[in-house]
Amino acid sequence: MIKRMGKLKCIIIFVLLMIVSMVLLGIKSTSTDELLTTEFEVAEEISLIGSALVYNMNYNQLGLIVNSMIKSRKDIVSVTIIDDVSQGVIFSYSLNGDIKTFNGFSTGYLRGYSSPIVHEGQLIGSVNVELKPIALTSSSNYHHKTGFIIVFFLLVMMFLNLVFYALLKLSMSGSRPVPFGSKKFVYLVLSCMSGFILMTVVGGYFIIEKNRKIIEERVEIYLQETITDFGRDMERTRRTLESIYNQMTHSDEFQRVYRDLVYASYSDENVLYESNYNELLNIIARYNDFGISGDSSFLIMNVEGDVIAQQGNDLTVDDIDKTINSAFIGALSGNAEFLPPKKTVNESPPLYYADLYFSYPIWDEFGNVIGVFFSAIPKISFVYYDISQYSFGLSGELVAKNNDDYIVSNCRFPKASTLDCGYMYSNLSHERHIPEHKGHLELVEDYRGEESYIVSNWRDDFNITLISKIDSEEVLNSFYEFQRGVILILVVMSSFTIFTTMYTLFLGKEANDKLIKSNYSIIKRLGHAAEFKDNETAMHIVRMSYYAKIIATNHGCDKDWVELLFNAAPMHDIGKIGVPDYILQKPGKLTSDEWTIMRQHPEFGARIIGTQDNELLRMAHDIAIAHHEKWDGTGYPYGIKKEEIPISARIIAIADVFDALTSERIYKKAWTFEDAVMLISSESGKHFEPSLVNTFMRSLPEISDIKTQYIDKHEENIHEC
Amino acid sequence: MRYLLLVPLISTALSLKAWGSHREILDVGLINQGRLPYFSVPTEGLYIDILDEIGREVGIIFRYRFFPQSRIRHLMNHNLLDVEPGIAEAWRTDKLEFENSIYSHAILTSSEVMVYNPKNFQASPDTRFLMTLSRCSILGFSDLDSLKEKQSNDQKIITEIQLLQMLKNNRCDFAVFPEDVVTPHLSMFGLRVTNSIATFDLKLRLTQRHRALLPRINQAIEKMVSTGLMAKILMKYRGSDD
Repeated sequence: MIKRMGKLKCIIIFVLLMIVSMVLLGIKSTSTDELLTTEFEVAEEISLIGSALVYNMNYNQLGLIVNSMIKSRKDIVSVTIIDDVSQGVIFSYSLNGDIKTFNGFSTGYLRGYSSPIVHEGQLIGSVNVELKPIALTSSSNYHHKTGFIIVFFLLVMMFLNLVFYALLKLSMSGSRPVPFGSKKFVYLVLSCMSGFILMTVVGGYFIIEKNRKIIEERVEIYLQETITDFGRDMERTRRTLESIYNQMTHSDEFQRVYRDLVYASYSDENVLYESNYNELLNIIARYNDFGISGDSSFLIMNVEGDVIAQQGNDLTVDDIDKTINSAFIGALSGNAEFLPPKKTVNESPPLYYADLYFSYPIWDEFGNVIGVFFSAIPKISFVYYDISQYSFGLSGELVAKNNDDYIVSNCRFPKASTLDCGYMYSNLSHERHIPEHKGHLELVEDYRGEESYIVSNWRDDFNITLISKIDSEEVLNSFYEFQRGVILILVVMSSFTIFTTMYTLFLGKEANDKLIKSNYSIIKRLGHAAEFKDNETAMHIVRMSYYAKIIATNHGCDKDWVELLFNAAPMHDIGKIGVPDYILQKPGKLTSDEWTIMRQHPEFGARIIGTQDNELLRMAHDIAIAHHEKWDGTGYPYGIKKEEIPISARIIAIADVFDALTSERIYKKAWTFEDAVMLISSESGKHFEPSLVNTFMRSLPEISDIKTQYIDKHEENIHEC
Repeated sequence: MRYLLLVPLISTALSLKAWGSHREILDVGLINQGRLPYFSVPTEGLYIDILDEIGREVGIIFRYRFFPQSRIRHLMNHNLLDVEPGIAEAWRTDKLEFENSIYSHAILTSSEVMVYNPKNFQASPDTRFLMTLSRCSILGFSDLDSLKEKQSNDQKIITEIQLLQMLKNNRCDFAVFPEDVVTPHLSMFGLRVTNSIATFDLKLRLTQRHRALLPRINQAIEKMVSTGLMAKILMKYRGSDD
């Protein structure tokens, strides 16, 4: 079938199939190029799917669904679903089979998250999820890349084969011959090889760079997501705190205590103040279950900014900014806000704090703001000072720095002697990002001096810059492996291809040379056959071939062409095969009719050789038909003149006549060398081309040597094929 | 003048509200899909009428909250609901339920029947034979003693209407229902019932912390029975006074 369709068609179809498969592969790789799933998303997914089942207490069904979800993922370390009513565990999964108590806090650097389960507005439970730390670069991406590379190189190989196929055609075609093994052919092959190597190197470079960009894009998205997660958690925290403080400050008890405290503080009634202050602490303590600690520092101010009550010294009046955009003014306007963190570092023992505070307006029953409650953020897992829970991978973390580029959050890799982390700089960290704008990827040195990828985002509400970062080494580890793999493939492929191609060419040239030599040998023997018929010596064609070679070389002809001439020369008198022996070997002068027959031998020769694609035979044909033509147009068979006569025939004419003159024939004695030279010289511009005669004259020493070397021996036999 | 008339009305309403606010509120758990003739969503049915009357007598307010059956039992166990009406003592035997439950006098008697699809049987099936077949039941409902062995093979359904549909579609062979509840649906689903397989005295189930209320509740029930109010309510919803 392949034979019928033709090889070229088969190759084209194959290439098309490869392109289609590459496109399909590309589509597939795009469609599966999904974003990394975070622990937040997993927890929320379970929460959404399981809420109705938890509400109906259909725990069997819940177990089936969550287990099937877990089975489809390899990165889930544990899942715990807790019932809000009983606080009992209604579903538990652990990768290593251990039943563990999950407290909502991340353990180590696992990615953990706790999501509430809400059904029709009711909190009915919570789901806690822990995922394995992940390397941000997914290996699946490289499988797609490897597939792409394989297809790419197959296409290159196809291209190379097509080029060789075209070369083969070219070398066989008659119009623009590129002989196999010729310099032109070698140059073409080398050009193709260079093109191939260039294509593979350039292609490999682009693939590697594309891969790097893909990795960086994924890292950027992941780092942005970490910041987004933090923002989402903080917003959730703010709302939760707002609800709790709303509940607390709106209670009749709090309202009464607050009024009494205000009264007592202005009227200096210490006993009343003391009792109400204790009552206030009791009220706050009752909200312990909601995460508000009675031990936390707080500060309550009236609308004039006077302190009404205070606990602890972490937050003082001096820390409260009362400018237009401050949390104090915000609270007076009815808004609950976070206050920028206050950082403290104790020298000895080295301790580190960067607590966050929350402001909430105190309303009266008529909806007027009558005070502001500033409180330290309770110890909820995802708040600012416990930022380490956002750590991911082997080196990824979220840190916060202030306007001075000083890190005010706990860092994952603190200095050995202190929990302090030091400074960290980035170019974009102070840009005011709008909420939707998530910041761009940068490559900077982190607080340890390690090169890191970071995404930074300024937070107006905290007066800090959040930086999500990961070591570039961790991110690019897979990339470097991929890069090394591609380079290895390129080198191996190129080396193999070059070696096999060159070796094939070498073997082909060897075989071709042998074939050419064999062909030339046959051609020479044919020439000898004609000479044998004429004067029974092979030395004539040997000598005249050399004479022609010497003249052509000294005339400045191309070396390959001279070689061709040397090999074609023996066939100049092949047409004599068609001349009867009695004419060729007649001792006396030929009659007019005999001359007529004799003069037909160029045409006989041309017909014997015929019209061939082969360059040698084409030249042999030219020589055979025109070697008796004369420069002045008086020759035969056609009487053409000057440049109308092929140059090969013009050279052969001189060589043939000179050797004929200096050789003995049946019908004449041999001329002396000098006489023959004189005749040639005298025929310049008549029989022979003048410039070639001049070349002949310059070549006499070499011609003389040849003549001396190849003397006629009538007894010589032609043997060997 | 009209505005002057409004003043005593508003005052009366506010005073009633103030009086009402002092009455104890008990949360009553009812199945969120409704269960006529006992109750429906939002608040109608014989349980509602009986409880409202008891509330008036005892001076408490019953607040009706609707949940899936399992959740009602769960919330009762953790004192987040106060009353589960229409419960036989034999149905609540889990440890927490047993420890945390007290029961009123009976408010009515319920006959339990087995429901099946007649297309699956050539003649009316024997109840003992039915028990060997596959059963559907409501998630959170207690099993009768005679059916407890089959529990592991049951298909658990969320609502009673879904359950009847399952029987109609031959997804299971039988289910156990109170006769009062299932009778109105039989013709619509093309189902039939067996003779009664059990009869239960249904009571109000309260959490232990309301033990002090129980005598007054029982007194109210007795009064309703003796005055014929109970029979009147039952007649209204069941068509009979028993």
